[in-house]
Amino acid sequence: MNDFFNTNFFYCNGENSVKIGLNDFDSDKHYHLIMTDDEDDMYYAIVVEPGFWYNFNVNVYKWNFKLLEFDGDEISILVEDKIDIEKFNISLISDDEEEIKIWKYYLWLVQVKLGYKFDIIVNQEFLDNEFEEGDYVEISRECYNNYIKKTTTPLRNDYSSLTIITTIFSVLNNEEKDEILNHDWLTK
Amino acid sequence: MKIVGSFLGIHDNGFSLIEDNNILACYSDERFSREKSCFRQYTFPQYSLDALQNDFNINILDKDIILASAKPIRIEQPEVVDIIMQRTIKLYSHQYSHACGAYYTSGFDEDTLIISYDGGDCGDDNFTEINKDNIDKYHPYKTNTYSGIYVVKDGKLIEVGKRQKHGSVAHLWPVFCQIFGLQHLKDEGKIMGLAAQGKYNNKIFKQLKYLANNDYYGSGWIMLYYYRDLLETLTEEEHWDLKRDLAYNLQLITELEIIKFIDIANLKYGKFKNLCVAGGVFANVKLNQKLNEELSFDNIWVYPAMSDEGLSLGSAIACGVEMGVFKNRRIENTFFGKNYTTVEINRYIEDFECDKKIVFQDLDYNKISEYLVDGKVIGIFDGASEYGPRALGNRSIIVEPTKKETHEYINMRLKRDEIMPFAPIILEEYIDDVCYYDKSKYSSEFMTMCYTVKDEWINKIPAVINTYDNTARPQVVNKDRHKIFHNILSHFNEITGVPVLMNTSFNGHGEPIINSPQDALKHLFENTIDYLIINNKIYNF
Repeated sequence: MNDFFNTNFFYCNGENSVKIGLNDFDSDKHYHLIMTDDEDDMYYAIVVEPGFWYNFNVNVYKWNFKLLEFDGDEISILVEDKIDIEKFNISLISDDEEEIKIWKYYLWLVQVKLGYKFDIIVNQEFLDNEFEEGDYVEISRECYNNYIKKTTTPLRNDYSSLTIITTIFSVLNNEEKDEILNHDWLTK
Repeated sequence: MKIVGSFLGIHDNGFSLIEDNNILACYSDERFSREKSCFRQYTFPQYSLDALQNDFNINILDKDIILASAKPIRIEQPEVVDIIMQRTIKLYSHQYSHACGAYYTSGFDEDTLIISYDGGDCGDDNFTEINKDNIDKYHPYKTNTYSGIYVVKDGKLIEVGKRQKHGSVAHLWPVFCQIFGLQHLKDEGKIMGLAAQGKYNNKIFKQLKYLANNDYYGSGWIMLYYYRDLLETLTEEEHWDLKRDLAYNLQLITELEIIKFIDIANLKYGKFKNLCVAGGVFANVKLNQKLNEELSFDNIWVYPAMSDEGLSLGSAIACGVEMGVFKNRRIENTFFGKNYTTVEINRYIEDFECDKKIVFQDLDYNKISEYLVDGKVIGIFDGASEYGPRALGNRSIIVEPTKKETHEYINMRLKRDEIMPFAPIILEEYIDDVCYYDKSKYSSEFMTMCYTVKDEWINKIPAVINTYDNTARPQVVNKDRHKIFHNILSHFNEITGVPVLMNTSFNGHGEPIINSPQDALKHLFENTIDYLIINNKIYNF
């Protein structure tokens, strides 16, 4: 299991960009992300704030991540890892069955519509893709509304799943997110 | 051979013109736009291009002019694309352009180490020129280099090392500007000035040292919210104590890291007699003082246009050296900016519309000295404006330096909020009496370095001394190279026995240094200054 997930450090990525957000945020601490390429050369560094995702346009596929943490006294490395963005990894941490259901279905839908493959990770576990093209999953309007309602304010983590989903759409950038979110199935 | 150099990057954009071995003009766009470069970012330097083409009767699209530019070149700007589609622009790396500006204006022999160091560049290393055939392949933001190390062989600069990893110590300064509520690329000097009032703080220093040791300079932003929020919770006294300590420790880590960097380069690539430096961090005159005092070089030359403003000339020089027409020489001054003829100046004066009657008298240095003794504020507008951040006599304001309260008075008159003490001009004949001064003397004519003031002068010229560390940032005035300054200082010295005056740049709060006679007259009209020396006359209302 990737250390990022153990520390609730979310990321998802696409062919030409990487988006980073911090899931489990300690409001008394400050975070800073460093990204370098495989030769430790190309470089991004950015303050990670709650409620934001960070988009990095890249033209290489293997990245080194370092997440620094600052508690006002010392600066230290919280996470250090590498990712290979030729493969998509999308993670959710939640104990809400409804949210997980929507999450999985969204990802499946994106996979089908856009032709990308994801590793779907929920609560730090890789899940088998339980859907196949042509499958139909019913999500009620009430269920969706509850989901949206919850996500208008941050969930117990600082990142709503909706943010993550819309992030996926903008990362993949092949579909208008509104078009997908307003797809017929949502109204069923 | 005419070469037009340019910097078409993010800030401090402009154009320069050299012809064979002569520097003809260096125009920074902020002087024309009247907006400091920090507020005028990502803009094409159209004002300076228009002025250059008009003043020298050239058109950069003419094929007999060679175009050069320092990277990065912002090819997303339509004006840049328009040029590229019609002409080829020779490209030189950001750090190499800084280094060429530094070395080829120093007059130093080949026993010289050249260091450029700043907040970084970008630009595609594979491109030595850009034109309509390859513009689509150019990647303006590929690679970042924060420093270049160069030596000289057969008159050419050879890159022997560079810093290309995780940022530079320069990246800590914009963080601290934000913590302090100041403007990056404009107010760093205020933090440097405040540093003299602070003290070592182990916690702050360890945090900065951690970033430095691990090469995480760019991650200095992790400190922003903590310290900004903390400052808001403190009492006024605690607030300023913390700011002073933050400034002190930032200045300390900057000095330590740059000294270490240069020292290692010097040991690694051969022990050199001379050092040339350029890049934004060397706008820090306290750092330059430490380089001068701590390192083993006999002479240090700080490129007077050390920031990105100096890149347009640097790229023109790089091109001139490549073409074999530009040779190393010591520049006499930095008066490469916009010049005005007597006829033009008179027209500005005649056309200046105001409701007061302007009067004038011939320039009389005894009169000027009397005005200065009387506490008057005098503006000088003479010849071409200075290239680089320092006003060195052609767009300067001078005041007598013997009263401590003058600092506050000048801040009030100029509507400024300077923390850093104003700088002195000192007659060359007396500099050894006033300051501990034994190395890098030529740099001191360009106000790029601090020196420690001797005890007996500290109370005589308090308006121009940082009394927390007894240093000053003098411009040493040579009688052949700065005639007006030398004459004024000599007469003032005859009356007062003080061969020193205060010199600050001729501009109001938040403005770049003035450019035109109209700018100067406006300050006279608005009572920023009491008298204006222009065209060998003294004007006042």
